[in-house]
Amino acid sequence: MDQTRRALCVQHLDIQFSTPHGMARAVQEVSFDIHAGEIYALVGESGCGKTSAAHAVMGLINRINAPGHRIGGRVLFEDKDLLSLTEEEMCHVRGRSLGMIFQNPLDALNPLYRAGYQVYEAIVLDKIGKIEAWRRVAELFNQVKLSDPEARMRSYPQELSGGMRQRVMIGMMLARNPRLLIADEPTTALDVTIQAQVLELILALRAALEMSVWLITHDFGIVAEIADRVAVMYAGVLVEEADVLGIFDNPRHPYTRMLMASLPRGFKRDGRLRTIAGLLPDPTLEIPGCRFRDRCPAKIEVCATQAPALVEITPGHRVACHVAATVKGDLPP
Amino acid sequence: MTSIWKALREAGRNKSFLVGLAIMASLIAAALLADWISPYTYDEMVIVEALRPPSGQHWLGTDHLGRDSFSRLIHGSRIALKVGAIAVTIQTVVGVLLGLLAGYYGGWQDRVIIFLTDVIWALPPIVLAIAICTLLGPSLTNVIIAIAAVSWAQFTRIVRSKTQALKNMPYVEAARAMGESDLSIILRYILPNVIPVIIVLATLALPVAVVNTTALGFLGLGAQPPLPDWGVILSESMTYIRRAPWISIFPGLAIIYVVLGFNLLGEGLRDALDPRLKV
Amino acid sequence: MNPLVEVSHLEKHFEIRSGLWRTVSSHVRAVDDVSFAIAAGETLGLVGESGSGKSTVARLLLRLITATGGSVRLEGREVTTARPAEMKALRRKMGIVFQDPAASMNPRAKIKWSLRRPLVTNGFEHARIDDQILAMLAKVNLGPELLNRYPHQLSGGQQQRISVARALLLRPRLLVLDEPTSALDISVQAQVLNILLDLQEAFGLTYLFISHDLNVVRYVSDRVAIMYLGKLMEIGPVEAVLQAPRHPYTQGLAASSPPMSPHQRGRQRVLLAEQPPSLIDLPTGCRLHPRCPFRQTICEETRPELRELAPGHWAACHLAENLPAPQPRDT
Ligand SMILES: Nc1ncnc2c1ncn2[C@@H]1O[C@H](COP(=O)(O)OP(=O)(O)OP(=O)(O)O)[C@@H](O)[C@H]1O
Ligand SMILES: Nc1ncnc2c1ncn2[C@@H]1O[C@H](COP(=O)(O)OP(=O)(O)OP(=O)(O)O)[C@@H](O)[C@H]1O
Ligand SMILES: [Mg+2]
Ligand SMILES: [Mg+2]
Repeated sequence: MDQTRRALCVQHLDIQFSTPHGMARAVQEVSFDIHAGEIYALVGESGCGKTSAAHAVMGLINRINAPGHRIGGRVLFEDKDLLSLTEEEMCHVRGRSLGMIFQNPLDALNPLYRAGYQVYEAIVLDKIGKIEAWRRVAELFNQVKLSDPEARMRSYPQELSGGMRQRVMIGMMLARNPRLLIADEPTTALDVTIQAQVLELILALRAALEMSVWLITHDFGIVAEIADRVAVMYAGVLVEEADVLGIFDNPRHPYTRMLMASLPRGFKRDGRLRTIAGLLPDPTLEIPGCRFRDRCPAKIEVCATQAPALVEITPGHRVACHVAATVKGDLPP
Repeated sequence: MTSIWKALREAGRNKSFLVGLAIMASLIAAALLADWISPYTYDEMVIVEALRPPSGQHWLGTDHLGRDSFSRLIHGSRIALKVGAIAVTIQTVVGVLLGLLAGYYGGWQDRVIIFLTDVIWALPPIVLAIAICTLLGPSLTNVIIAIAAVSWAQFTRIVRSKTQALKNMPYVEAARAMGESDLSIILRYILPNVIPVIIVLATLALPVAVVNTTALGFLGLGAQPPLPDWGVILSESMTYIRRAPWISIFPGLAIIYVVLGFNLLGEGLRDALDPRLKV
Repeated sequence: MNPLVEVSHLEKHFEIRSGLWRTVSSHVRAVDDVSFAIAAGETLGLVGESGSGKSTVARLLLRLITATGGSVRLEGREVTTARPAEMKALRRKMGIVFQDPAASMNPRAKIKWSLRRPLVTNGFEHARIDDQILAMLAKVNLGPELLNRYPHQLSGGQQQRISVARALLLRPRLLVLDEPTSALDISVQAQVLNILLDLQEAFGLTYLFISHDLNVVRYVSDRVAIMYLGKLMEIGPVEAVLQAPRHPYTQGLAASSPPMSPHQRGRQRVLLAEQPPSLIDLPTGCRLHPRCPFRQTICEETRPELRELAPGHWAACHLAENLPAPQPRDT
């Protein structure tokens, strides 16, 4: 891949949390690149480590919220390794070229200040004039398509609906002209009608501002709607990565394939859904071999001893599975 | 109810909880074993021995009637704990019942009960207690009534708000959908989830009750001489505070000991049982 | 065909009290003149945005809250006015499963206790209670080892299956499922949906299935009802309502819900504008008109009633016959 067209490069990211039962490996040896201008989706079920990975990249895991944690690997962004920056340097990066929006925007907005002022504060950091800054706030509120932007600027966060708050958050991030926007389940708390509007907005802004978006979600519908490339995560490891058509039309990892088959697509008469027997492995246990082994219908002997590496099987399509190349057609039940 | 035991075991690792527990144990032991521990009875007067400072014979000295201060102090703990415990039990039962009623049924029941708690809260508790005791006449029974009457409201308030939150929980709605009666829901589904809060509140209410008992005794509205109530001892010793300060110092320290012990205990319990609870 | 459940002109207006004397200052019209029926053995899907009144309908069916108007009949017997003894008998015929599996069981009691209570309180023979519980656990693919655990010691999927088992212990005819899989992961959702379909076949159960996920509703339902701001907008067979919706609101919902494959990107989309208005201050005429892309003067003035546009397919829209045909969605 062309070096200059990489917005973010994550190499061997490893995150461990200290728990009463020992160190829990939330993210293991995860490596991926996000290209400039693309929407890169990270999908996986609850607890697989999506948020942890994003928080590590943002430098949000610290001694206070996760005492005794360990983070390994490298995160290259704008020629810097984010994991080696000091908190002060990281603040500078966060304030400018790296933005993040969260599942619940109410947690991220201060209930004591008006929405417009909070965006204004984010801009004034850039040392532009006051009047200029307020003009820019109005512009941003227009840009994120808030209806009646003048009134919305004067509203307090709790007076806004979920969709409007998420727009304010996006506006606040755009104020810094980020090169990469990390969106962690940005629409999970919203109704589908409002979700559609927010996704539309993200698409429009990506095109207008040429930023990259790292979209974290558990909803394959959202992935189908806006992602360019997709990575699937299971129990802290990346199991498959491909462009969106590759994941939907030709999934190779047994986990991805079973997950796709467990989505309700048709009617009752079309038969039962595929289920994945078993539970997630205990994150505090050291597991030799493949982490999905216990639940995999296609496992072979080597799966018990050797952890499969993420290898490219066709251009742009990476899979971490010993049998991905051999098992074609339907998986055994 | 395993989780309460688990929380208690957790509290066992908390230093202030352990100190509080030790203080409570020593107080209960003193109260129960008062007759064996104290070298004299609490009302044995030896006038020639009056106002003696602490010595080998009278560890904490003697009062103006020549009674042994140590024996009176130990016997006083019996009164303090007994009155405190009974008053707290009454205010807990009354307060919790009203709180469950108001929180669960809402409507006019709620409005009446909340109005009552507002009235209680609007008046300074000790003034109200003095008024009640003056009205009913001085006696330990009336002290218990007065203390319970001024302190049930906080139980009602907190139990009510907890109940309001719990009654809308899906598991309570599910219980109703399965045909559980209101009484069964209150006793089996709501009360067990309020108990941790009640335990903490009761622990923190006890020292308040003890202080109020002594205050009423001091004012002559509670226990009557020769009963060795700490408040009574304090009021009798006021005249001699310059000549014989030990008579008043030790009951004062005893009160501080009780307040400290139960507050440490209550805070330890609160941290273990329900860290979000701010009383 | 005799319906198992008949709801007619059901209405729930919550009072909003304010001021010193807590006087009623306004009403939230959470459910307003809603009528539908569910046949025995059928699944009716109920869809709508947050706050449209879906859960309120569910609670009214089981009389967990009292209706301010209208009637609910189960097997021809009136639920809204039943006396306590009759109500207890009616309750045994209805079960409910809630969205939040973790909050659906008494946190201080073991699973065994939670499963025994419905049987004990309804006077089942003590000797047979444990056998019944074990048999029901097997039906939801769980083993007896869970009985001695507390709810927080189970996974979300296990908790939700226990909720289903508990609701079915009394052998109800109707099971109300209020977003039973919204809090679950995809693979766990599939488990729970499969079990629900299996149980329906085994016991001939009737479901009211509430969800905001159109794909899930399409998969489980025989008929679908669409709700908006307390009113039914459209009701009919699942294929008709979800594949060829006649109401602009349903069209908007269908267009907003994410596609099942990236090949469906760029499909024609009728997006609904803005946010839904407040339930206290409802729009005149058709409740949808401020958000509707097709609105005309009549929509602002007259409230549309449900009209049968095709056999069994009803929609409440003045313009239903004159809307541009929506693109059918392939599945
Ligand atoms: N501060 C922390 N201390 C200990 N463990 C943590 C901490 N943060 C996360 N974890 C654990 O790390 C694992 C991954 O969590 P993470 O929040 O990254 O998952 P996720 O994929 O974002 O899940 P979800 O879809 O539920 O948001 C989980 O097992 C979680 O319990
Ligand atoms: N006890 C209550 N008092 C006042 N208003 C209420 C009460 N219960 C519900 N409401 C209101 O009634 C309306 C409908 O609520 P309901 O819970 O039925 O919606 P819903 O369709 O289930 O939404 P969701 O998808 O968010 O669960 C909402 O506006 C809600 O605020
Ligand atoms: Mg997350
Ligand atoms: Mg609901």
